Amino acid sequence: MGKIILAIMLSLGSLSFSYAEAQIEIKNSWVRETPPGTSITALYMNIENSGGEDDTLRSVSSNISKSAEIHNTSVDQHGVAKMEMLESVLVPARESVHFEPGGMHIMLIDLREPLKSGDKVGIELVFDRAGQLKVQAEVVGIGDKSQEQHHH
Amino acid sequence: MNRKKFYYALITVLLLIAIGWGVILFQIFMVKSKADFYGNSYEGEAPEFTLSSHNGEKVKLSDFKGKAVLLFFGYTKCPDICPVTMGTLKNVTDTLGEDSANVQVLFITIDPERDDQEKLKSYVPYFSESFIGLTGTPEEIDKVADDYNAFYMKEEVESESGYLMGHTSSVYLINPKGHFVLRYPQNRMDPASIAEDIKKIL
Ligand SMILES: [Cu+2]
Repeated sequence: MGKIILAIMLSLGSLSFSYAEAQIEIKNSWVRETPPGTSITALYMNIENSGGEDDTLRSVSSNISKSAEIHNTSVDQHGVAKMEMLESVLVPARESVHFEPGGMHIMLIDLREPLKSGDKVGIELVFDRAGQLKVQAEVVGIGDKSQEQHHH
Repeated sequence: MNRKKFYYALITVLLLIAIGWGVILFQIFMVKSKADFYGNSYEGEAPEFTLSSHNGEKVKLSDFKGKAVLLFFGYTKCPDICPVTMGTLKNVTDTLGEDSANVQVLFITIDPERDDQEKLKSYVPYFSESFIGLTGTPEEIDKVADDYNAFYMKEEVESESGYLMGHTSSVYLINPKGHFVLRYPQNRMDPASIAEDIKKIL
């Protein structure tokens, strides 16, 4: 009898979980150091949604650059790479979305200052459900081999 | 006399068998040696070009005869695929160690309007002092890209970055004799494997 009650309680518990809000966490965020003479770079991260509801990344902004845009790089069958701007990015319930080299990235345009390896930069993300999230990302140098291992 | 004829026939048959085996072995060898490369096979004469280096010198492809050449088309205002690829090429030359003295990485801008000599001079050596950035007039760049079947275009995107470019993102490997041998698309960018290929053609 006790076991049945426990089972019912557990299933109720998991039911109530599925109605929970989206829970967004940003992990492994990093920004590429700027080569001299350039004022544009890309930020990468994993967006994890541990909640039971889909959420949507709606906009990005930063104090370190004039503008910030959500971009996706894609390579077609002829090997031509293109970047396109995305209006928003869906982060499905219990899934994570990866922003990585050669794929989605936050493009930081017209940086106010060059970014050096080891610096920390802050940007803000706005989600439909989770609202505004601040992200601290570390600047990673081109010599740091770990940065290209995220590729694909 | 019959005996002599018999020997002639025997020799002919043996010769034919030997030739047959030769052809088979040759084909096995060719197929195997091609399959042994990591990059995609891409053969032919690499067209000659003359462009301006980031140091302001005129540079021809034939200047690098005797070296393997890794050629990449990109632009400095590209924040993702270009620095990723340049970083990969740096890893390739690091992996090659001493052999890297026989390898030349060339970065040809497909955005000559914005990428002048000064821009390339600050950008290209950042990845490696040995890399050479090349620019030219829009017509010159157009010609080289065309000769190399490389594609590029300004993109109609409402980005704040001015304009973005779509461009061929594969890396070309040219052997020390000035012939194309391999091409690396973006899904074949493992530095250690590219370095292995280069060792085979040096
Ligand atoms: Cu971008």
